[in-house]
Amino acid sequence: MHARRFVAKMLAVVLVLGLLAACAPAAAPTGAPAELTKPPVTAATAAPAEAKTPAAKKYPPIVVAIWSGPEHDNLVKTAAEYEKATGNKVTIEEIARESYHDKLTAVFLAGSGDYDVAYVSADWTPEWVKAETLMPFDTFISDKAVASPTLNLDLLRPGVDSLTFDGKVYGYPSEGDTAWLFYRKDLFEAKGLAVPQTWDEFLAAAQALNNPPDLYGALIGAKPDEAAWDFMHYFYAFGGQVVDKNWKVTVNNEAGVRALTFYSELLTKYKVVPPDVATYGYNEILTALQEGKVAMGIEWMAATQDLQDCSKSPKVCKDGQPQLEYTLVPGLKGADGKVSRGQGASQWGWVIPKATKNAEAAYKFVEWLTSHDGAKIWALNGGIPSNTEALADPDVVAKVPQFKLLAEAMPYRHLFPNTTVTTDMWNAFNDAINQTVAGAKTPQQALDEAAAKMTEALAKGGYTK
Amino acid sequence: MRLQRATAARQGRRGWLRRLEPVFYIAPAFLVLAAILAYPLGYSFWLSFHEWTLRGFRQGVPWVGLDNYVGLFSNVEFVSSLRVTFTFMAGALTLEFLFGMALALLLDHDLKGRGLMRSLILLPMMCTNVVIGLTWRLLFNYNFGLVNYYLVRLGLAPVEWLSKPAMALPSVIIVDVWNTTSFVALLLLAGLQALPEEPFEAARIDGASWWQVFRYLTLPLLRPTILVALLWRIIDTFRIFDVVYLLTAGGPARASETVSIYVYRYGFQTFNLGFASAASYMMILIMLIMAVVLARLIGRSEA
Repeated sequence: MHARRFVAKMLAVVLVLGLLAACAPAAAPTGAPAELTKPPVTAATAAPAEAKTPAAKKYPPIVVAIWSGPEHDNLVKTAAEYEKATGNKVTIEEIARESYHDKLTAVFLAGSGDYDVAYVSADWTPEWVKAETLMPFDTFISDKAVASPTLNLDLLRPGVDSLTFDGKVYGYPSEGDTAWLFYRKDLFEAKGLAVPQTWDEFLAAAQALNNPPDLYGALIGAKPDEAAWDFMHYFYAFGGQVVDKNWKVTVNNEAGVRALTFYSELLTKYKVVPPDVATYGYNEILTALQEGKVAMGIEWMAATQDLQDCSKSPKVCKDGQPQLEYTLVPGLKGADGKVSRGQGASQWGWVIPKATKNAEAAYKFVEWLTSHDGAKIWALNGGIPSNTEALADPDVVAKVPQFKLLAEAMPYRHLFPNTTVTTDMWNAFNDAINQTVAGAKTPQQALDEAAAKMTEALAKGGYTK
Repeated sequence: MRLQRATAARQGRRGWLRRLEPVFYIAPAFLVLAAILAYPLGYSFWLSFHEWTLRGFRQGVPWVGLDNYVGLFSNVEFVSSLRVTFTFMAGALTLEFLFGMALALLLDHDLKGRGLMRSLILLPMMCTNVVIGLTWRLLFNYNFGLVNYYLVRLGLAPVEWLSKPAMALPSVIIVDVWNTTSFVALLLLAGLQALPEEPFEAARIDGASWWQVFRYLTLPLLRPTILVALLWRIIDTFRIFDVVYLLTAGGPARASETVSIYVYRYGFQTFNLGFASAASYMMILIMLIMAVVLARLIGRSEA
């Protein structure tokens, strides 16, 4: 009897403690998780709207979802210009990169209408289109009262094709991104090293500059949910191919295995990259480059502005001059002495979830953002527009020198296959890289397993029998 | 006579009303619970026998029988996530009970500032898991983290806390021990203070050593408390998600992928909801078995 009362008391204590723990957030220490839950930034606060074009139609405020990083910072600035021009309010919600795709999918499926516009990778969209969660743009395009008279989809090619399914347009493109090899000009000059054009030169330079733990020669990324984004440049540069014409998975062919072997051996054999690269994704790579921890590394070109801005990256600047230069991703030297190249690419765009209550307002914003005017502002703020007219705009060409290199890189860019089972394929691929770099599997083993999973996914998606 | 019958009828009516009365009080809570608990539970049970994918569910959700469950056990990653979860549970619980018991014994003495100390050790428990995960991710950062900074200052080699497969799970265990040892200590302390004085006095008179008192008196008398704390912590550690997700996201190379991370991966990354539901039901089943066994033990120690 005594014991029973005692146990009851104990349970009461436990319950009270549980409650206490649940109420704790108010008492949580400072240094809150800025990374995960930043309050939404209202572009209006960044730059108050002034002159409103009288012709612009008034629309209700909209919410735009975007992942954290340079694209978010750019959107804050660019959307402020839209607000100034039209008087329509845009609220921007920043979401952590690693959970961005999952969060969007959950919100779209829930049909909650939280977001009116979302910034997405084109290869995520087929699945969402199948799930009937995205709004086709066609009704707006054909409606003369809504679509801008200057709208010309041809200017958005080839980007817009990645967002078109069964003849319907589901988004307008921005950020036809690819990567550069960023290298420290000062360190290369001090050692009299040439800028690497091939992987042999890349490795030789990395070894020559490697001086751990103060400086590492190079850098790779193998974070569990992001590894494929960083590996794909090596993969395509070594001649890798995800699928062939008949949808046969070829990630584990000789070129793929060679690429992953080289990639993982930078850590395991040559030790020219920081030892903790298994936790590196876009942000960690950016930080390592900015902190001057590495002599070179491959990073998305969207990061160029951050890396060359001496107020953002003071440690890699000398006398106010940025020391991180960029060039094409290295390639393989053929028997004829020519360098064959390849590098990963991604096509992003703006989509409108079906559940939005402000579809027209959302469409008008997307249309403006990808028009010559909007895309030009996007480019001048550090973005990579997919509007060919904006890319060729004299102001843009003069102010954004990397677009010259982008034109050169165009033929080498490879996009990951855009299918309804891309998420499954992507995750399998990701896994293989993370597992290999962490030393849990050999490149061949890991890629064989990935190939098996990708083949199964493609069969399930109806691409093969 | 007539009066009597009328009274009886009135009483009967009133009795009927009285019997119905509790329904009014309970119904709102019951309905809310049913909506937020029973419906999802039922729906996910139904899902676990169907194939639900993002690309296919608009065309229909076909019945696949036990396929999801069969697939689960032939999936090496699921088995590995179970192994990781139990390793985590064993490691964390052992350390938490060792340190918790030591702390409880210490605080059971008449120390100066005992009240203050007791509140201080509760601090880690007051933090939300997201804050804990992010803070420790920074502390454990290989290049810029404070932990490695002090290790190097002490002349030791920096440790790859989160990037080495062999270290990832121990790192998560360290954080969990830091977080919840005080909870275990508090429970054990409450138990210690509720123990009767007489057996201890008798033992002291008989000349029992400290160890003998602890081993043959304190521990057996504390058994119900320990079991309650154990039940609570087993349930908590088995379903751990947020701290692991923030620290390592289950990596590297799935070395710290617990069952809930596995379920998350299938449920919310690839949206294979049927399969993820089956995995969740396996989780519930395993948890239920452990809870029933422990509840039995608690009941037995009560008698």
